[in-house]
Amino acid sequence: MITDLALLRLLQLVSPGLPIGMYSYSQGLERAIDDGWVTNEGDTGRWIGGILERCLSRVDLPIVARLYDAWAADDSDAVERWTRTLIAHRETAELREEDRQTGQALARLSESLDLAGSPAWSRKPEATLATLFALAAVRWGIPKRAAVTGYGWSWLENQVLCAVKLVPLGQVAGQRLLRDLAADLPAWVEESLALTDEQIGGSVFAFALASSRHEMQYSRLFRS
Amino acid sequence: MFVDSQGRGTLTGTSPSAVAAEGWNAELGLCFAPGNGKTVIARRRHVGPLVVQRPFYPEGPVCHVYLLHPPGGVVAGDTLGIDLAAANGSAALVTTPAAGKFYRSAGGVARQSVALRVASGASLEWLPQETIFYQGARVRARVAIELEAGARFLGWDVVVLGRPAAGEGFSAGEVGLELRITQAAEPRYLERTLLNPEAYAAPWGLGGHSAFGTLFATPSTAAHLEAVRELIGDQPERGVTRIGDLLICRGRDMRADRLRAFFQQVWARVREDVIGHKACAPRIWAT
Repeated sequence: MITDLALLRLLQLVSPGLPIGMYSYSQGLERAIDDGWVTNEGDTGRWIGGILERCLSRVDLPIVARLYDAWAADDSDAVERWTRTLIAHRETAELREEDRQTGQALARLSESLDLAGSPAWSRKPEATLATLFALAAVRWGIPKRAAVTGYGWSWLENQVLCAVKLVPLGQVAGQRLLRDLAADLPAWVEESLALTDEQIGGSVFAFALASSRHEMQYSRLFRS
Repeated sequence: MFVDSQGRGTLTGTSPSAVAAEGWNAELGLCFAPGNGKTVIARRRHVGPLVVQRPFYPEGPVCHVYLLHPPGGVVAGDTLGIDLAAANGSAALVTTPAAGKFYRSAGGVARQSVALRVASGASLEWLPQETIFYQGARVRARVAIELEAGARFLGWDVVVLGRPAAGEGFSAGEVGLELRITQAAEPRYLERTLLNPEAYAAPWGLGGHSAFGTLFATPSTAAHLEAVRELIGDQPERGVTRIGDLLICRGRDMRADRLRAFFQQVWARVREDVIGHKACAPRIWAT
């Protein structure tokens, strides 16, 4: 169970208002739309849902869970190891850069919020969002499953907001997508928590291709 | 079971011990090393129907090797293992004269494992023709690339799902592909792709394209990234990125030959800087 305060902390952590610049990254979605791979509400749901199933729930979510355990056990070697593993799974320069930027931004914010362990990460080039998200979740007493679910939700909401702006879609269509995609999230969280270390990994070919192509997109609004 | 040789490969017969109860087991291990002003195959380990022809030297010191799998295709239960090591001071280019084929499975799984190890001061090029997974194939394939600091590597992997020329897509089957690049024992780049009918059809996967592939080159520079971007220009379904000094080029296509031709262009553009020798295309590519 989650306490009322831990729930509020989680809401703060996953809010689009968290000043870490998440909203400036589209994770290649901008290029997928530009290339005509994603053209409407249905395409958007299938694109985001595919990445959620094949990549998020097999890379990010199980590694957030391990980082959570590592911070909870004060095991800095494990924090470093899983952070490096997560970075190695990022398949383009842009996706790695995004992780570094948002990770360092959350580290600096966490330092200002007096979260122990964060100062050392604010200048580390290998900081990832997941590393610092897991740290905040542990320090704020958010239970692991809720933290992992919140991380997935935060990614999902950001992707849908990007699509609303870029496809573009109406606000109501965006809310419909969030309703439907969120309905699948608990099952992916469940599966991600059951993965062994050896099973971690999930590449989505056109996701990496779109991000590679976004890096050379001439006119763009988003940084990834 | 390494056997010393003089670097003069000859076609070797099939060892009877290779027929395992559940399928063929084929393994080939080659170790490249410098010798007499050129790179030679210093050691070789060999089990079953996976062989290597006598090396060619079309450009002087670089050892060109053709890897053959005479049965021509792999069925469920078979295991293929390829292990190539390039020792300090060696330069080798390995290719195949024909596409690799994995046939439809009645239930069992075929496995392929490729280990490529490149020492500091060595270069290795792994440039096989495409691998075709027939509709209904069930395969686990793994490529592990271990680089020492200062290693030079250029390689690609082109995969085809189904036989588009025969009107065959990939509405059945499952192929798991794993690729790991480690440098100085640290994971540097990790991929794990599950190909099934959904991934074949979905826009986030192949979007109905039967062929896709990835090319890796290291060490690369920002100038190489720019050059490949220029090469791509307005072409759809092609992308390039550079992580540290690892250049990664991706593409998907309705035709594997077009994707291979694109990778050959990239290879020709960056080879001299990455490997240290001007592009010299193996003659087998032209046939």
